Amino acid sequence: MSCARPSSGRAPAALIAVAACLALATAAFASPSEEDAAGLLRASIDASRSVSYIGQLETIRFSANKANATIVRIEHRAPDRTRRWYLAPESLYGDYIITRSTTTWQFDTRRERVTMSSNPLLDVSLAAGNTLELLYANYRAVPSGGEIVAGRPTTSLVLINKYTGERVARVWIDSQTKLVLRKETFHADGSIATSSRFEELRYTEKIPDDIFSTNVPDGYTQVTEAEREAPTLDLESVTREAGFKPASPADLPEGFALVGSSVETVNGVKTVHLTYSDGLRTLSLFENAAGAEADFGLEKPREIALGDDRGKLVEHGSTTLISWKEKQLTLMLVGDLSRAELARIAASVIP
Amino acid sequence: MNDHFSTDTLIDYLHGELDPASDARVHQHVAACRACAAELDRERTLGDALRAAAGRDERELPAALKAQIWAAVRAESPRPFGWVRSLLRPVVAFPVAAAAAFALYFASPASPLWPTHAAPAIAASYYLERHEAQQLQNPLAERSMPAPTIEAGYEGSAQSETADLATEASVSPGTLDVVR
Repeated sequence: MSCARPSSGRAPAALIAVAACLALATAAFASPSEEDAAGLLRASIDASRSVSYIGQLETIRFSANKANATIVRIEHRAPDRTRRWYLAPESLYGDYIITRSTTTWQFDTRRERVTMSSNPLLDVSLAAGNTLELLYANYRAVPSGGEIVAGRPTTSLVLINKYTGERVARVWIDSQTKLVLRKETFHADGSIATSSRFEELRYTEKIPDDIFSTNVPDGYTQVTEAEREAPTLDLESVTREAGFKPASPADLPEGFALVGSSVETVNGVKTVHLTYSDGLRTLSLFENAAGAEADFGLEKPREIALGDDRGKLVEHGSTTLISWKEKQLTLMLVGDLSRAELARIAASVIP
Repeated sequence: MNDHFSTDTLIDYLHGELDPASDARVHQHVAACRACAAELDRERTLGDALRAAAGRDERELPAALKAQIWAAVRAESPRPFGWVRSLLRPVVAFPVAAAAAFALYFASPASPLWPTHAAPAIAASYYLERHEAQQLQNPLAERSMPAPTIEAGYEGSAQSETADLATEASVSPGTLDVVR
């Protein structure tokens, strides 16, 4: 009897090749330890400063019975130049936004208007430094497998609130470049609040300068917003500038801390803005002592009980706004928490 | 001639209550018209008779009685705050009180005449936009991710207007439906 046997040289080579492929695949989708997850999270925050790309991003925000959606094409050249132009919805089609460092130019093609504004928080290093420690302190980053997003292998991390055990966010991080390619955030009841995902993605350094041109087209109106200062933690200076002492919530969810405050003049009214964060979620408390109430435009606010008081509530996507009056202050609370949590926070604000 | 004056007109003429032009016309007419002159004379005679009859019914008080009345008036001592008591009479008090109440009301801030300085409203889109800007403090905030825009219902999409964001230091009212 004679059988055809493979030569002794080719069989081991084939086996080695298969084993190598399996190892690569495993490595691509290997879940890091929780210690590695924290490092991976940190790397993803800084990734946009070193990675250039062109991609198409889809974003959906969900509220109780509505959904807001956009499709945006993005050109990003590291470290800090970005152009976003809208493909959808139709009302924004053709509009585009140029960001250079901390300055933004918004081109509204319908109104033929360019609005220039600056926000120091667009600086990743400044923003991350303020709240990254809060993020590490309040959330566990738990590895959760990986999948292919926009043709790229990713590692996903679930961010779980240490106090409530709730899943608050999940991110899919490019295994190679560490860029966040997909992200989901969740309501307190576990339903999805926001979902963003790159549908197309190409890494390239070759993005021409004129893509980021801020030349104003003929006939366009130019508007320059007042320069915004970086928020401060000096409440005494805020009190002096505002002319009144702002009130703070006595009851905040665990992990939340004041991360900044500022004073702006809006329609001639001195308005204090207090920002609270737990590293992942943000609350804003606006206050004025001039009795200036909120104009909700076409939205019809609903009444909500705030302890012994009554307030007005509007939901916009995953964000809720509650306005009310307390003694001499007119207040507005804005955040992505549940309605019940926001109402409890609002009821604890006592001037 | 058939343009006689009425009896009422002649009475008014007799009492000097006509305007100068009418008075002149009646005077001229009466000088030439026997009928109106006779009517005028009858009214004058009647008036004289009535005044005479009224005068006959008047009685003069006796001098001694008049003296007693005046003596009693002079002897009456003035009451303390008598002028106040006079003001408290209803015919005086009510109009005075009403006038004071009106004055207090219109002078108070609750009055519709009081100039109001209501604070201007602040568009809710301002608060939303500033909150979104501060969310960039979140290390995982998508700095290249656009803010939510139009409302897309589950049964289809609906377009809405773009909100006006802050311009200069002021904010124009806008809807919440679209935010950049």
